Amino acid sequence: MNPLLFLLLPAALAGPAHEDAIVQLKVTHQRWERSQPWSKTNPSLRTSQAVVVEGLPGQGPALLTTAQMVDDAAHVRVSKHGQPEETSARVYFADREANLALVVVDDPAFFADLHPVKLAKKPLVSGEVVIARWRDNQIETSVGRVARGTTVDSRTGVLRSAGVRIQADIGGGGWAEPIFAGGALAGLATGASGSELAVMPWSFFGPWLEELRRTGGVRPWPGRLGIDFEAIRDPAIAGWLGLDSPHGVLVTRVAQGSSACGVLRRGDVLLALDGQAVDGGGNIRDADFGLLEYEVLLSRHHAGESVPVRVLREGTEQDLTMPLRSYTGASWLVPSDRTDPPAYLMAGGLVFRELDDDYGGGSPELDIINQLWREAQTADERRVVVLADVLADPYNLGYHGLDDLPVATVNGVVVDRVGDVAEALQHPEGGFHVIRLRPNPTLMEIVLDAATLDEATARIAAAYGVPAPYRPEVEPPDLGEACGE
Amino acid sequence: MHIAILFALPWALAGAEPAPPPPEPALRGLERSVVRLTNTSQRPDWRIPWNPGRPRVGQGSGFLIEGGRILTNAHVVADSKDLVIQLHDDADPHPARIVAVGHDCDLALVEPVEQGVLDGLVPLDLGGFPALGDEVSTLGYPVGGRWLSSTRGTVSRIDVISSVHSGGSAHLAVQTDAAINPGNSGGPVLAGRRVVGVAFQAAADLENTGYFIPMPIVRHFLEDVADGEYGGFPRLDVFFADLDAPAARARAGMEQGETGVRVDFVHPGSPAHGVLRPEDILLTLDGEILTNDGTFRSYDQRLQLEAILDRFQAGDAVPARVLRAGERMDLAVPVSSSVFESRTYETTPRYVVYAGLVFVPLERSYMEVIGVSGNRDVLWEYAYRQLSSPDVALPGRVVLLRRLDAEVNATVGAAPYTVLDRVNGQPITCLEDLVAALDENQGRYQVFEFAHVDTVVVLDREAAAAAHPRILERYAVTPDRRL
Repeated sequence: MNPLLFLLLPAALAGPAHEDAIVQLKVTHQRWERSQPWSKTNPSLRTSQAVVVEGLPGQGPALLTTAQMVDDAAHVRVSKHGQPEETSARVYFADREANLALVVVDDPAFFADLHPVKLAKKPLVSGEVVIARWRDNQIETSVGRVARGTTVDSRTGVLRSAGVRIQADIGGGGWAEPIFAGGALAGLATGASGSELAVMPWSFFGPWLEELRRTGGVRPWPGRLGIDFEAIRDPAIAGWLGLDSPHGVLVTRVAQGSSACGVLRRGDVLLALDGQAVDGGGNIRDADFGLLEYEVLLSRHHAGESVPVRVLREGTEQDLTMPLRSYTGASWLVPSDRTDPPAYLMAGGLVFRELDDDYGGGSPELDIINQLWREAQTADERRVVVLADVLADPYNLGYHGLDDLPVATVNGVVVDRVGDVAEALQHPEGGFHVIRLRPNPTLMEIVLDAATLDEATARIAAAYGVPAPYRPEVEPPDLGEACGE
Repeated sequence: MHIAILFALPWALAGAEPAPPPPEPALRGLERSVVRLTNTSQRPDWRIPWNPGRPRVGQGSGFLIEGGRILTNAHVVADSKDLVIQLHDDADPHPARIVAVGHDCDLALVEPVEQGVLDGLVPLDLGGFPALGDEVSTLGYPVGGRWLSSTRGTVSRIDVISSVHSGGSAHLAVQTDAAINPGNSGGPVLAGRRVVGVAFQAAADLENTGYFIPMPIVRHFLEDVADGEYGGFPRLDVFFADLDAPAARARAGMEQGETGVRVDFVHPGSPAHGVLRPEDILLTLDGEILTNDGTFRSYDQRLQLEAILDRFQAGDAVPARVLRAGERMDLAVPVSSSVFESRTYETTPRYVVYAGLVFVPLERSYMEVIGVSGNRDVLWEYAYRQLSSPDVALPGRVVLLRRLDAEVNATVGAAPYTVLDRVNGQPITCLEDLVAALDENQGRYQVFEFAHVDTVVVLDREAAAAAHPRILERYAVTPDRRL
């Protein structure tokens, strides 16, 4: 923009005052208990920022923030102008892959003295910025400087996108603070380390907001490409693969259900993705943001679209078309992103649930699965069932104190999900329920009396305050065909 | 209790008359039979497996037994390069040598190199098994001074305890509140004038918690080495599950009042494999009735069933009664020393260095270096892979320990502590496989594929061969392999 012209602009065109465009967001949030998944943890409060934007057509303004700020929300409220009054709000749309959320306030009077921010027009790639936030009921502004481009982690999902790091001398940042350039909203802070803020730029959330306004939703994201790769940094591996210099990455594993499945193969060298050359470390060079992980290219598309890929396969370069599928953390053997309440089954005091990111590790058996096979979901193995706890009772004498043990079979049936356990317990073996654990040095088999199970479950549920002994799981995302070869 | 009185009497009665002849202190005359051992040991550092290690000097105790030998702890004389004996009232050091060593039970026999050093010394009498609460005393050379020290206490517990030295092997042991400090190791624990055990370790984080090796274990060791060779304590290498759960007992077909433990896993390398089977209920072992928690009655209390095995030597068959598929049958279960590795001593690490990549076998000593926290693939390979294939003893694994950075390897994707799967397409189960796969290859590249992480490392064969001697020299690696 011409600096002379900028000086002559009337103040109104530079955007509303920060006080009128930023509100304080308070989210009471709660997670599910790890081993008592019918209960929730102690609620706690998260205070962050939201900016006023044009809402859905005909619905007046709304509030934009990051999805991580409304994660596990039990109640959302907002306050403005540093005033003590708080107004209840609700999450209209949270996109965990994009790490963006739109919050609405049903009382239209709330917005009477607020004004939507002006969205930036040019990419945020360099220069000075202003970070604004509510602190002690005052608007606080700090000056920052764009330090460099960076690959931004979506935090609530697995998508990676192009962003920037901003050097700024503010304490406790990373809570969805709006970043302004030339008076227009240019980014949202999604994290902080030291004096650096990780910032999602306008170029990512602008189109997102536009699509949400236009259609009332946002199309699913591709998540991740779904390959493991070996870097090609060394001339020897390049030569062995038939490349004249180190570039591209060697595909070593392709995940079922991913975009790469059925297109890329183990042994391929990925040379280019979406028209961009991939270097030996798995990076692409972006005109605006510099060196970024190739995964960011997926954040410029939605599932259902196709991108070109170039591979070196068996010594010849091939151009392929890759239809993009939604391959998010919810697809994994150990899901990294589940929003549904955890499925569980309490039977005879034994608490079964599915292994996921929230449950985490704790025993060598779980840590091994988490580290070695977290993404390795197949049609035969969708989830891992864990014996999370034993609620001690005379019925389960001999098994008190067991926890964190992955389950292999129940009454001879391989159990993949909590629902499989519930089903298998309908078919006892000769009057007994036989639960085989995955191989471990502690215990391989649990035997329970079948005839008294239901009675014991009811007694234990009453004694330990378990409201319902069973919460069925949500069907995992469709995996499609095996990748083959 | 009378020991304390006897010690106190000469002072208590001073001045009284007529003075009776002072009674002999309980341990008088035994002091000379307790010796101090000074061991210069050298233990390799498994992180730098070609280095012979730093020499260390350690002190312990030992005592003369019938047969002219000194009994002590294995850890007192482990990895020895030089061993010296000093007597109670003799200022001269005497060179000594190891006759036999049992690292699993932490016992060893040594003797002076010269003849006649122990002439005139009285061997200590070996006694029986003490009872809970019995008074005991120790003799030895703990830290805090140069000469012999004696401490007293009672027998506070009898249990099956893992030995620190072996890194896990568990045997019958006795706990005492008599002070046992560094240097006491290998010294006798006496009840009256008879030896009831050999002091061997203390619980570092507890007070007044020393342990000694009781006579059944000592006698087992002495019988074992009588033929000049040490066979070691036998073990079953079986995982047992407790059967406190009534439903588990009922399903196995156990009758009211019948007790035992369930076989969950039999290591395929154990001689018990095929004799004992998963799902068997072990009812008795050597005639001892096992309870549902795997204990039996012994010394008026309960002990873990491992203590039954301490009665046998490797190669014996242990009588067992099992319940299998509803049928009770008597078996003879062959036993041998454990196939689960214990910590090794007097050994040198095995490794192969190739162009700066250091490969080692996946063994206990290396696991102690690698650790288990951040390396779950190595842990799985070491501790869980066999459990997943219970029917056959699986071949070994080779691990990349580290990279010695050099031009030829600095940009390859070799991460430490990863499990080698194939080299040039050949499966690798031992260092010999690795050497053969590298030597036989005439192609342009050496290709290393790693398990779990799916890493591929490629080296130019001629460049690697040229860099190899330079890397050895730069990092002072000699020799480049020890198979």
